[in-house]
Amino acid sequence: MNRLFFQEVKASHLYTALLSVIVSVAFCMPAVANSLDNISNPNLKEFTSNELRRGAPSLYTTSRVLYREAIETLESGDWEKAREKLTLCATISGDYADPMFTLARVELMHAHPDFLYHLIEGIKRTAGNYHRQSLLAINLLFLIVCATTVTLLMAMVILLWKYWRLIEHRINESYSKRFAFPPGRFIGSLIIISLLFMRLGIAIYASLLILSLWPVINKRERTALSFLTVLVIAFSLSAPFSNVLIPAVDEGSITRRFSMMNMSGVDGELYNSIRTIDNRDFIAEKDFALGTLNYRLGRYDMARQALLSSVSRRSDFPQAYLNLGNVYFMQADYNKALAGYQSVIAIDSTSALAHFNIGQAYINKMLFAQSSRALKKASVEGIEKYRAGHPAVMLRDLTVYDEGFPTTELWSIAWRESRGQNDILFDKLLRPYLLIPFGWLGYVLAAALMTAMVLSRKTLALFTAFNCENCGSATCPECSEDTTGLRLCADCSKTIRGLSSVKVMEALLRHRRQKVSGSRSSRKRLKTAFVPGSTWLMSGKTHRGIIAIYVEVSAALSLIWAGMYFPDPRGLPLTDPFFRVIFLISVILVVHLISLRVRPAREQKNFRVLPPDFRIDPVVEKETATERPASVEPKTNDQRFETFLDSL
Amino acid sequence: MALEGNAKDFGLSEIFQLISIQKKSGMLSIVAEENIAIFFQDGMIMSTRDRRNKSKDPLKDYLLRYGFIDRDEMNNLQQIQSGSNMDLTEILLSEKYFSEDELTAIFAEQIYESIHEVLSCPKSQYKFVIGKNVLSGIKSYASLKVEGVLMESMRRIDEFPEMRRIFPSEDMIFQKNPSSSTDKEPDLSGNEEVIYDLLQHERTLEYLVSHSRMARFCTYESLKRLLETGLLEFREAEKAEPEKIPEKTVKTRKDKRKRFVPTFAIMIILVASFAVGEYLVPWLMPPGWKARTSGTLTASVPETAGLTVNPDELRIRSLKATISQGLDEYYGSMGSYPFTLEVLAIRNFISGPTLELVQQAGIRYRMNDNGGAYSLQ
Repeated sequence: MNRLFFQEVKASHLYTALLSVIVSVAFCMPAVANSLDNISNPNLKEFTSNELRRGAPSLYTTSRVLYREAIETLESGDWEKAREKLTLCATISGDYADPMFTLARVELMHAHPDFLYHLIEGIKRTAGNYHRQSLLAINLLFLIVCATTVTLLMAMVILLWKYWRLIEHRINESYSKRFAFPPGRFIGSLIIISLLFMRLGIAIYASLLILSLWPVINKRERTALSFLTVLVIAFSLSAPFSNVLIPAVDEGSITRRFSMMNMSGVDGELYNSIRTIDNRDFIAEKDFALGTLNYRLGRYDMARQALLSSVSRRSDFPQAYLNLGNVYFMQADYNKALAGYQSVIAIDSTSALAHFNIGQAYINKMLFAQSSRALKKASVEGIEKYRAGHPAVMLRDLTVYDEGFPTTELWSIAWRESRGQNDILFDKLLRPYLLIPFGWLGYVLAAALMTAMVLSRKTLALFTAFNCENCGSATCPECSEDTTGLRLCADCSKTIRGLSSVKVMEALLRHRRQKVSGSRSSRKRLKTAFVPGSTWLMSGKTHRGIIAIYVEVSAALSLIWAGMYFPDPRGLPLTDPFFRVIFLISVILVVHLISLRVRPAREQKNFRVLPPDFRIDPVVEKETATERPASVEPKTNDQRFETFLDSL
Repeated sequence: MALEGNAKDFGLSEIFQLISIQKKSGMLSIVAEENIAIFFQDGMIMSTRDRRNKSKDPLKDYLLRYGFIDRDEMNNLQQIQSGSNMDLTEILLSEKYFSEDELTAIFAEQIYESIHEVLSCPKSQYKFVIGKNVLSGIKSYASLKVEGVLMESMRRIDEFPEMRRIFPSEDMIFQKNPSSSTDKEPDLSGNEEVIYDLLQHERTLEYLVSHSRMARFCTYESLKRLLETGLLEFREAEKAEPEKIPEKTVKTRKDKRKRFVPTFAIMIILVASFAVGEYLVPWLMPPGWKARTSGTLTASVPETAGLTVNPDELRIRSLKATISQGLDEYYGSMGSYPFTLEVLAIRNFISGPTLELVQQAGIRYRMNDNGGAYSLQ
C-alpha cells in the first residue's frame, strides 16, 4: 500500500511530504523528555507517570513536592543543588510561578545573571494563570480598600490632633458659657473617650471626624481629605463588582472547580466535583469539562456525548470543538475531527492548537501538503509557545493537543457566577469594623462630606477658631483681640493689657511667643515621630503625609496578614522572613526615619504692633461701620501696617 | 588692680573723693548691712542700680516706698520686666509713667538716698573695680558730682537724728491745724505744698511718707517746717487689735467636694458610654449584623453549595483545599496517604497552625484502601 501511495504522488509532493514529516517530528520532540528521569524519588516518579496517564495538563503537585524539597535543600545551605531542583520543578510545570521567583532570588543573591530571566518568567506565569491572577487581584484590591480606609481614618485622626487646640477651644467656649461643671477643659477629651468607649464603628467615627475637622482644616488638607473620601466612596459603591474575585478564594466555586481541570490529572474527586455542579447557567461548560476529562481518561464515547452536548448549547465554544475534534481523531474519524477543528478556526482563526491538530489529521489522511500548511500556520500562531508553557503535554507524547478552560474563559465564568450573588465579600469582612454594610459607607461618608461643607459655610461663626498670631494658641472671635493689629489670644491680650508703648508690648509678646511656641514645638516633634506620616501632616506637607501614611499602613497590614489576607490554600506557606517581615518592617522604618528629618516650613510672620494712633477702637469701629463705605479700611495686619508706613 | 578695704581704715567719703579727683570710671561695691554698687563715670556718680542683682533694685524700692507707684502697678511692672527683659526705666518711660525730666529727678533723688544710707552705716567694706567695662548695660538718667552728693548726704546724716527725735513713731497722726486755717492760701515751698495737700484728712506719718513722692528725709523736713509754721498739728495713734485669721477648714471641705463631684460625674459618663458600646449598640444592630469578635474559627459552619461569601465557610473550604493539597503531595512523595493528619504536620506538608485550625473546625480525615484513597468530612 505504501509503494502504491508513493507511486501516485508526484515528485514535488514527495519533497513536501518529507519536509512535513521532518517538521512534525521536530515539532513533536519533547523538550523536557528527560525531566522525569531527574526525579530521584521513585514514588514521586510513579505518581507523576500516573498523573500523565490520567491526562494531567500540568504537573502541579509534582512540582510542589520538588519545590518543597528544593526549599529544604536551600535552607541546608547547598544552593547549587537547590538551584538544580528549582530548575527541575520550574521546568516540569509551566504555570507554577513560585519556583521561578525563588530561583530569581537565589540567583540574585549569588550574582547569577539568569535571575532576571527567571524573574520575568515568574511574572509571566503569574500573569498567565487565572487562579494566580484572581488571587493577586483580590489581595491587591482588599489591601487597597483597607489601606485607603485606614489612611483616611489615620489622616483625620492626625489632623484632629493637629487642630485639637482649635476644636477644643470652641467646645470649651460654647460649654463654659452654659455650664460651670464639669470644667470646660475636660469636655473635649471626655467626648472623645466616651465616643471611643461606645464603639460606634469606623463609619460613624469617620463621619464625625469629617464633620468636626472640615471647618478648621486648610484648603490643601480639605483637598487631600476629599480625595481620600471620594476614593473610599468609590470603593464602597463599586463593592458589588469585587464579587467577581470571590471564586479566587472560594475553593468550592464553580470557577475554581473548572480551573482545577487545568492543574492536575483526572481523579474521582475532580470528576465528581464537576459532575455535581447543578447550576443551569453553566451546563455547556460543565459538559465541556466532563467531556474533556473523559477524553483524557480515554473514555471517548462518553467524551463525545458530553462535548456534543456542550457545543449544542454553546456554539461559540472553540475549546469544546477542539476537544470534540480530538475525540473523533482518537476514534480515527478524521473528517469529523477536521470538521471540529475547522469550527474552532471559524471562531478563532489564531488557534495554534487547532492548526496543529488539523496538521496531524491531514497527516493521518496522507494529505501532507495541507498538513504542512497547517503545521506552518500552527508554528506562526505560537505552537512552540504553547509547548513551552505546557511541559506536561510534552511529557504525555500526544499526537493532538486538547485544551482546558483558558484564562479569559475562567474570568468570564467567574463574572457570570458572581453576578447572582447578593452578598458582598468585602462587606462580610469589613462590617464587624464598620458596623454598617460596606456599601452604605459611601453614602454615609458622602452625606458627612456634604453636610460638613454646608455647615461650615452656614454656621461659620460657630466653628471659627484660629491660632493667635503671636503665640499660636487657640482663640476665637469672641475671646481674641485685634486692636493692636495682631489677632491675639486672651492670654497674649492680657499680657499687654493697659500698655501703650509699642516697644514694651512687642518685647512682652516676643517673650511669650518664645516661651509658648518653643515648648510646644519641641513636644510636638517628639510625639509625632511615633505616628506614621504625622510629621508631614503636622508641618503642613499634606500630600507627602498622606502618601507616607498610605505606604506605612499598607506595609503594616501586609505584616499583620503575613503577606496576603487571602493566602493561596494550595500554595506553600510563606516562610521566607525577607518578604514577610524584614522588607515590610524596613519600609516602615525607612518612612519613619525620613519623617524624623522633616522640618516645618518657616513662614515669615509679622509680629509688629500698631502704634496707638493707628489702632481701631472696637466701640467706635462698630458705631461708624454703618456710615462708612464698604471695605475701604485695611483688614489685615499687613495692610494696616502699609497704611501706617505710608503715613510716615 | 582693684581698690579695696575697710571703711574704718579709710572712710567711704574719702574713697568717693579720691575717685572723683582721679576721674575714675568703675564700680564701687560696698558690703554693709545691705550690699550696694555705685557706678562712676569719669569721677561722676551715674547710678546705684546693679543690674546683676535682680532681686534688689534701689530704684524700684524707692518708687514703691515713696508712693510714686503703688504695689499693684509695681507687680504689673515687674511682670512686664520679667516678660520683656527690658529695664525698669525703659518701661517707665515707654509706658509714660514719668517724663524723662521727672525720671531724672527721681533717679538723682534715689542716688542721694542710697549714698545717704551707705554713709550712715558705721561698718562697711568696699571694693572699687576700675574700668569702663563694668558700666556696659548700665542705664543712667543722672550724672552727679561727688562733692554735691557728699555734702547733701552729710547734711542729712547730721540732721536725721533731730528728725527722729521730733517724729519718733510712724503711727503719729497729722492733720491741718484748724485754728490756722484761713481763706488765704499759705505761702509754701514745693515739698511742703505736697505734704499740705495730702493732709485733707487725718494722715499717719507712715501714710505721708509712702504717698509724698519724695525721700523720707524730705518728708520729715517738710513736716518739720509745717509744724514750725503752725499749719499742722499731730497726736499719737491708738493701738489697734490684730485681726483674727479666718479658719480655712470650711474652704478645704468645699474644695474636696468640688473635686469629688466632677470626678464622679466623669466616671458615670464613661461607664455609661462603655455600657452603650457593650449592650445598646449590639442590641440596636439588625439581626445578622455583628461587631468584631476574636478571630477563632467557628466549628459548625453549614456547608452550602456553590459560591459563598461567608468568611467562615470560605476559611473552611480553603482549609480543606490546603489539607487536600498536602495529602496529594504526601501521596506523591510517599506513595500512600498518611494514617492521620498529624503525620502531615510532622512531615511539614501542612503547618502546625493549619492542623490546629483543622481540629478547631472539626474536619475529619479518614484513610481508605490501605493508603490509596482518603476522605475529608
